[in-house]
Parts: sequence; C-alpha cells; structure tokens
Amino acid sequence: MSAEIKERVLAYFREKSKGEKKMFYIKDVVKGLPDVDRHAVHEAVKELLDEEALKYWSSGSTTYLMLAEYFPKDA
Amino acid sequence: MTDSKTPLLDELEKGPWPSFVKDMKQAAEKKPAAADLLNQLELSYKDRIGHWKHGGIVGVKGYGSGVIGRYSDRPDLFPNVRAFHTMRVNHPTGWFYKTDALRKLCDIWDKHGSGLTNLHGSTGDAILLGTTTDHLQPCFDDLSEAGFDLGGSGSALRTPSACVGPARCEWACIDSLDICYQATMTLQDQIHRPMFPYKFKIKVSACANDCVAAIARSDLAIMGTWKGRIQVDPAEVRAYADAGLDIRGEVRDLCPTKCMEWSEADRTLVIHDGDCNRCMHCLNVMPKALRPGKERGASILVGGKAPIVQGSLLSWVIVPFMKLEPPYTELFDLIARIQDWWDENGRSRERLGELINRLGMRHFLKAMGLPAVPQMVKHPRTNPYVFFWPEEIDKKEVK
Repeated sequence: MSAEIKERVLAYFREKSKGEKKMFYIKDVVKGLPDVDRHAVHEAVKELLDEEALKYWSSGSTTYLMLAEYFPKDA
Repeated sequence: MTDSKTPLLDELEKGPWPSFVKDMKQAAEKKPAAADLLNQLELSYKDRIGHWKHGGIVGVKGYGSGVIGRYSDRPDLFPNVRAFHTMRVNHPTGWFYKTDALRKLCDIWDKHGSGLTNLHGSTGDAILLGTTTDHLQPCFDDLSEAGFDLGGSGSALRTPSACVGPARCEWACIDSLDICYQATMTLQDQIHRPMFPYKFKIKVSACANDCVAAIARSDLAIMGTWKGRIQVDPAEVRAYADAGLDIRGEVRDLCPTKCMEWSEADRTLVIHDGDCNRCMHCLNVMPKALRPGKERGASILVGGKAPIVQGSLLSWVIVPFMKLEPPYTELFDLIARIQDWWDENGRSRERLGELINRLGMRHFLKAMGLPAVPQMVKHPRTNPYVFFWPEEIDKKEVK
C-alpha cells in the first residue's frame, strides 16, 4: 500500500473536516481522489482504520468514515 | 386508576396475541436495564416520540459492523439504558441450532447484556438487544469462543441467509445451506469491513416457493429451479383424483401459464413443459405425484429491496439457469462483477435495484457480459425493458 495514498486520504479528511461536517461516505473519499484507483482508496482506508487514524460511524443502516479525533466521546 | 408504572404498555398485553411487553417485564425482574427499557418505552408512548439516539459505535476490534450503537436521550431518567447497544450475531445457516448452542448464546447474553433477544431479525441474524460499551469486546470474545461471529450491519454485505433447503425440504433444487455458508465464508471481509455505497443482501431459496422471500428482500437472490420436464407419477396423479382433489379446478385452472391439460375421462395429466414457468403451484398441490425436473440449478435475480430511501422493488431474473456446484466459481465471479459495478456507479445509499433502474438494465447487462434473454421482463406478460443498442440494429431495416 502506497504511503502516499494513505497520506492523501488523511489530507482529504483533514481538509473536509474543517467545516461542520465530520463524517463522510466512502464514495465521497473516492471522489475526492479522482486520479487514484477506487480499490486502492478502499485499501488505504482499511489500513487507516486498522491504525485507528480513521473510525467508522454507523447509524445501523449506513456507515460513514471520520477522523478518529472527531469520533464522539459518548459513542 | 392503576398503580402500574406502564399503563400504556399494559394495554399491549391485552388480547389474544403474545406480547413483547410480557417478555420485557419478565426480563425486568432480573435486569435493571430491561426495567429502564420498559419505562423509557412507556415515556415514548406518552410523548409520542422515540427516546433513542441512534448510531455511533460500530463494532469490536477489527470489525466495522455487527454492533449498532443505541443511547437513551433521557439518561437522567433511565441510567441503565444510557447505552443500550444491539449486537447482531451471524445465525447458523438455515437457523439450525443445537440446544447447547442456544443455551451458550443465552448464557453469554445474560452475562453481558439485558437478556433480551430478537430471534431472529429480518436479515436473519440472532439479535441481542442491549448492552453497554464496555461489554462489547468481552461479549464478542465469549461469542467467538462459543463458535459465533458477528453479522453484517451498515454499508456492508449483510449476513447471507438461506431456507432450510435439502436438510428438511423435498423441493430443494440446490443446496441452499452450503451455498449460503460458502458465501458467508468467502465474503467475510465484505461483511465485517463496510466499503459499499449501502447495504447489500444475498439470500438463497432452494426452490421457487422462496421461503426466505429472497425475491422481495435481497439485492441478489439465488433461487433453485430446474430444466426439462417435471417428473410425473401417473399412478399418484390418479390417487389424488380418487381422493377427491379437483385437479381441473385446483391445479390446471390455477396454472399461471396454462401449460397443462387434465383429462377427466382417462384421468391423465399432460404438462407442456416448454410453457411452464416453474412456479411450483402444481408441485405444491400434488407433492406425491409431481416432482421438479432432474436437471437442477438456480435462477439468479437482482434488485430486490424494501422501501427505504426509494420504494420497494421485486428482484428480476438476470441468469435464468446456473448450474450450482461447489466451489460455485461462476456464482462468486458474477457476484464480484455485480458488486464492483454497483460500487463504481452507485450513489451513496443507492441500492443495486435503484441503480439498475436509473442507468437501465442494458447498461447493467453490458457490464456483466450477460445476454438479454426473454426471462428478463419487468413484469410478467408486459413489454420487455431490454432494448437494443443502436449499433446492434441493422441500419438498412431502420427507415
């Protein structure tokens, strides 16, 4: 896995999380890196989840991704 | 006047039907969380609003699904349901449990949760209702030791499910249990690591009676069927007639394709198998006389869903007949192509059927490399909605 792709994924989250919105669909992330293969983005996200830099947030029916630092403390 | 703390819920115990309130009251005698659950539900009925906050935590270490976070929005009143998470446990294929497995499951849930369960949820999982955040990982560890795993939730492959199939059913045309088990094991990463646009469901019915309602409830339905002639035992057909079965009225006249003839004079049933759509009606009425054909496999259907986001959809056929034998390479290759196309083209929270409706079946078929066939009709006996590509039409004939 390219460290560069992981860094770009993280940069996407940091940039997009500057506003009110902190949670994103995986498809948002893929769209945010249009020059990177979709599967490579998925793999990078999975590694970042394993490293706990990102976290899943789920309503039960839909799953979102967010930076671990913004994950609600009561959740 | 009543002394009950839950007068509104008490109303639900009246009448002839079993009530979940009774179960919750029994659980409340042992578990403070169940007592608070009752009281919060009473408040919800009184306020006419739910008092749950949904979402958040999603799983245990390494998992992105299987746990659904639930929190009370009135922890001041109901501290024992401050956190009341649901755990979805992957059910055994066909829902076959040995009693000791059920006891283990219940013992684990008594130890870590409210003791309340929903066996089973609509996806098929064993649903364990209500535990706290600090119990999630220990509960999962105990479940793992007992041989259970978490199921799917969120934007993931949901736990595949199947009818009882050949284990108990004479109609089974495929080994629905093995197919479901192999799908569960092969697609583990998709169940536990949500990476799809939305949920994706696979259900396996071993015949067209479709006891798991795969056609209405799954994005990908695998439904057992056969090729060739229905097996007919003429002596048993006559025995049904002798026993008083109205074969003309109950079998022939109710055949949707009118593919059979019944002669009262010589009491013979003739089936024109070429016109049969294998609906199973005649086989269900005369199980001793009629059996599925000998060449068996499955129809593959896609696009079913319940009415969330958009309206409900029934599945429709994309492969009329696929021979299904281990290791099911053709099936899993097709599933991979379908999911990849959906993942690439689908919008967030768009189910496969909605995507096909938006882009058109011909785009889907082209991407899958599947030919358009007459079985791909949107509704029976209406126009097919599979159209020609412009380059496929002989321009000389188009004036």
